[in-house]
Amino acid sequence: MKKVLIVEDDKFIASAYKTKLRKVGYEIKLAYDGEEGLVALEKFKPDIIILDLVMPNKDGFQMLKELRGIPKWQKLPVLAVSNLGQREDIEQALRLGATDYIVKTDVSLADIVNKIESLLQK
Amino acid sequence: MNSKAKKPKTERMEWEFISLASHQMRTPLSAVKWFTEILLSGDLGKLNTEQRDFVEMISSSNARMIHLIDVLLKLSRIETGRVTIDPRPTDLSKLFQDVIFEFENQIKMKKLKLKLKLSQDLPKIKIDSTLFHEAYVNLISNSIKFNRIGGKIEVVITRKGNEVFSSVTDAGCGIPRAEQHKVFQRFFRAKNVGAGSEEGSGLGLYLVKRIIDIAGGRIGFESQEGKGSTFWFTLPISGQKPKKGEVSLVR
Repeated sequence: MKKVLIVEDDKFIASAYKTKLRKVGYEIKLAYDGEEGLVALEKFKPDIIILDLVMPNKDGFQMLKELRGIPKWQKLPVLAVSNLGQREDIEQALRLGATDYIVKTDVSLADIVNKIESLLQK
Repeated sequence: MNSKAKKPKTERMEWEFISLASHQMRTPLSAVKWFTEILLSGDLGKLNTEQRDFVEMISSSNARMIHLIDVLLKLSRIETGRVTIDPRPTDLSKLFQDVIFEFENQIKMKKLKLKLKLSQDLPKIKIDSTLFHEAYVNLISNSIKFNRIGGKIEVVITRKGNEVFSSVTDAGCGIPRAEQHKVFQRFFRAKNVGAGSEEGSGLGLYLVKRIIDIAGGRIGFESQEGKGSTFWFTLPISGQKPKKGEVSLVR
């Protein structure tokens, strides 16, 4: 069973992810900010991360920067799923090492599942 | 050109507030979108017909709110000068055909006859394709929405002197003469648009106008009630100037 780490500060959004991704057959771990995300990363050893960007404490940009600084996580797929839609936000996340970027309100959960599957196959 | 410098300070502050408020709404709107999707997928059990109808109404009301917030965010980026303008040599006919492709189903469903008069020898013009894609999407979407079943849509893209001219003509309900001066105002909705017909954000044409404004073009229309409307815009052949964008205000 593939493992998905979800780093998302909104409890409702996190719960929607959890429900859908469990149903599809993934093992899920939730973290509510970048700090928790980095701790969970070492313990849970996910196959992919779903990463929100605007979060309290340590945000997604910072978490991305730190995890890409750790050699063993340099190739881990990270899907940034955020409500930031300005081109500069997207470019910055990709520059910091996000594998792909999705604007939340633009997509369905089914779209996200498809995206996860295609990133895991790469 | 920097719209930031020209806007009165209070208006800019208003748009910054709208931008922040819109951003705050996006997360709960996403939650509603995804939970209704889960309910409708049947993953949590089958809904009865009435339950399904109601969840579908929640879902489509929510989609309307998401659309409104999207347009407000796009507008606020323009009005606060945070928008990116990245002009690249662009083939307008091709850009337009990509837009038509997105609307193929809607055009078929309404049995509309599409007539394209796209000039073959248009020079490539330096524009931001994301912004102009948005402008064409709004014009085409209106020409479908307000058309009659089986009506005609005629599109012209051609060079006129030092400008490129684009127009979209529909055979829809037209705009009453008395209301024509309000067409590019925010939240304008013509009175002859039937109640219960498809509703838009009321911001589409205003957004198109602002996109054309910041590119140094002109926009206008001719309309006859009951017969249809033509919306047109021009762009200087010299194209638009680049501008660096800024990260979202919410950060």
